[in-house]
Amino acid sequence: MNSKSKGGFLFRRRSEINLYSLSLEHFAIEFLSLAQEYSPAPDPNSEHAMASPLDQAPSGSNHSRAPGIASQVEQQPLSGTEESQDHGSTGIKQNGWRRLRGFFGSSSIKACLLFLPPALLLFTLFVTWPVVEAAYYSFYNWNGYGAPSKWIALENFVRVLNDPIFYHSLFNNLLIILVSAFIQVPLALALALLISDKSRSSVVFRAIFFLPYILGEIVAGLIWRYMYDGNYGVVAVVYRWFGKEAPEVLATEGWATAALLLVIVWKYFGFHMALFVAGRQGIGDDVLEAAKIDGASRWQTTRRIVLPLMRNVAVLSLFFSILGSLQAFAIIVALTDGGPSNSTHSAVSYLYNFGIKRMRVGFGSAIGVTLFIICVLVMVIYKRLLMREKEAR
Amino acid sequence: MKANRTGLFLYYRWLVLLLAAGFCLLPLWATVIGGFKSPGDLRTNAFGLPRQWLLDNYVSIVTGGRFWQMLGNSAFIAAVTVFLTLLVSSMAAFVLAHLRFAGKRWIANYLALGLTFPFATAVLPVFIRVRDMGLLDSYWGVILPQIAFNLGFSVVLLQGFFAELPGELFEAAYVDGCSYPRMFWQITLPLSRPILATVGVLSLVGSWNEYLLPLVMINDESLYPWPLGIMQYQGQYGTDWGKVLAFVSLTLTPAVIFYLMAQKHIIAGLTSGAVKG
Repeated sequence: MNSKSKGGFLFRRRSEINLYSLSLEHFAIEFLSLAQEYSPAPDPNSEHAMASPLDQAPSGSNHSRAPGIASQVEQQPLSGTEESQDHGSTGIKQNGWRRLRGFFGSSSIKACLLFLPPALLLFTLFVTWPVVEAAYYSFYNWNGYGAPSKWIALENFVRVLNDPIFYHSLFNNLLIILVSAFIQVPLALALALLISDKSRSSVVFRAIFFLPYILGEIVAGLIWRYMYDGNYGVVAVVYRWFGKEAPEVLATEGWATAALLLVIVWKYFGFHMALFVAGRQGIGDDVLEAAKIDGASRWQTTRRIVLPLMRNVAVLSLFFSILGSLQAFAIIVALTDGGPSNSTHSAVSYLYNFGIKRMRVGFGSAIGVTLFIICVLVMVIYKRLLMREKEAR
Repeated sequence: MKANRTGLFLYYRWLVLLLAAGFCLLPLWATVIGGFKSPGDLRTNAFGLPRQWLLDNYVSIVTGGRFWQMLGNSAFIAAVTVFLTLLVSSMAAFVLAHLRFAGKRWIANYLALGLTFPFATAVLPVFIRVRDMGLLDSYWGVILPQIAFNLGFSVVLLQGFFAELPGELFEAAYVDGCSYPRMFWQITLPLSRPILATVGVLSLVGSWNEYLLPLVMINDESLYPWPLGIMQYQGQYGTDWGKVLAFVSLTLTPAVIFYLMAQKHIIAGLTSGAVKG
């Protein structure tokens, strides 16, 4: 698929399909005329008027003109369309036809009522409302049973914000982002430039590099837990080659964090590479051809043409690093479980360990809310910066 | 001289690529091969072929019921999640892409909110909600929140694609008296296979690998999906790495087979999905 069609629907923008605006326009006109007849103060905002007083539309039309046709239309909404179109020339029929259009507009409302609620219901029930609830619970000392009754105001937040482990977790999140920005993304970019062509070897290498990304985080964590094992693991074997006993990497503060960062690079650089490959393949051949004809060397082409054109991909890639860092959890559980002495927690694993595991709903919610605020801030700021770059270009 | 430099470049290219490939594959190789080794063999010979091929680890897992049960649980949860995510989000995306009504933009932005924060921030209230609904220790306690959290990206992706479909088709269908639900089933969905595949792959991989949600919602071991089961197994056998590695190898097999079969689509799906998400 692909880079081409993809680029297509990424960057091309089409306006609304005419048809619907047409039918809805008719509906709006119809409705507005009815509204003028029946209500003393017509709503000037037609778009608003369209949806809100739905129920009035059919009953209103019954009262106004040609009630017979209107009721007929209601009984057989769609089969009648062609017929009335044929006879559209006479006055009453014309009116009926317009009414039909209007009715079609309300059938679109029916479609809305049929198609939207499942998504909205699920989303509200399990995504947005829980966030609101988290904000509510965060003011209570509550173990999750009965109703929350012990109001402790901001104490949960005070406790979170005074906990050095929380800051250490956030610091680890920051480390992940930094390693991603300065090691992982450049590495992915360099490799992507080497293998973005269509040769067989490139395809194979791309597949290999992407492989760790599709493995579960748990699997990645366990595999590397074995690799780092001071007695059995690969690290141990390597140390023995040099005649030394291996340290317990995952049990040493500092080393454990470094080990975690390496695993994250291992698991995710392939994903960033794939982003860059897609970006590189999206650059038109004509530009590169032109550079070649002008006698630009491979390095010059890369430096002056390819890299500047891939800037947006890099912005995006970093965005995903930030997002991933803010969500890092299972990989930490499987690799270190936050140890030694809570030095490798991420924000989410901190939340799990100190909130969920002990069923301290109020405290956990306070962590959740804090994390939520951090996430939204980071996202908004990053998107702002990204937008500004786009505008500047 | 120029040819010489190109030759040098190619040489370094291969060197770098092979090193990186080794970095990627070595842990996987050590894992799969480690499952065949005795503890003593593992200790002294991490990379090489086993001195004696030990099948016990693999055989005992494959013949025990637990492994298959875990995979079955994961497969069921993932299948239902993918199906319902596609259904629910494409329905919503259809309405948002093709109809005009008051509050439409508001609804689209509302659903896109799901993209801005990780699921974990709201996991405690979700847990309480699921508990109060009596869905703890059931597949649905995992499936429903998963679908809800997939809605953000899937509606955004699908809506973008649906809005690009040629309007003439819908005009023709409309003139022929086609209803909206029929347009949805017979025009939009068949034309949207690529994006449905993308969303499907994204939610499939996400659901298959999900750890936090089942960890919170499921206590009953017979309902464990594989990420929970594997952690439990690891806890049980600790540093008997031969057993653990065999278990890890077996659980990553389905993912790797699936990946090798549909590699192109998966990479395209995950990255293009990401690009637009």
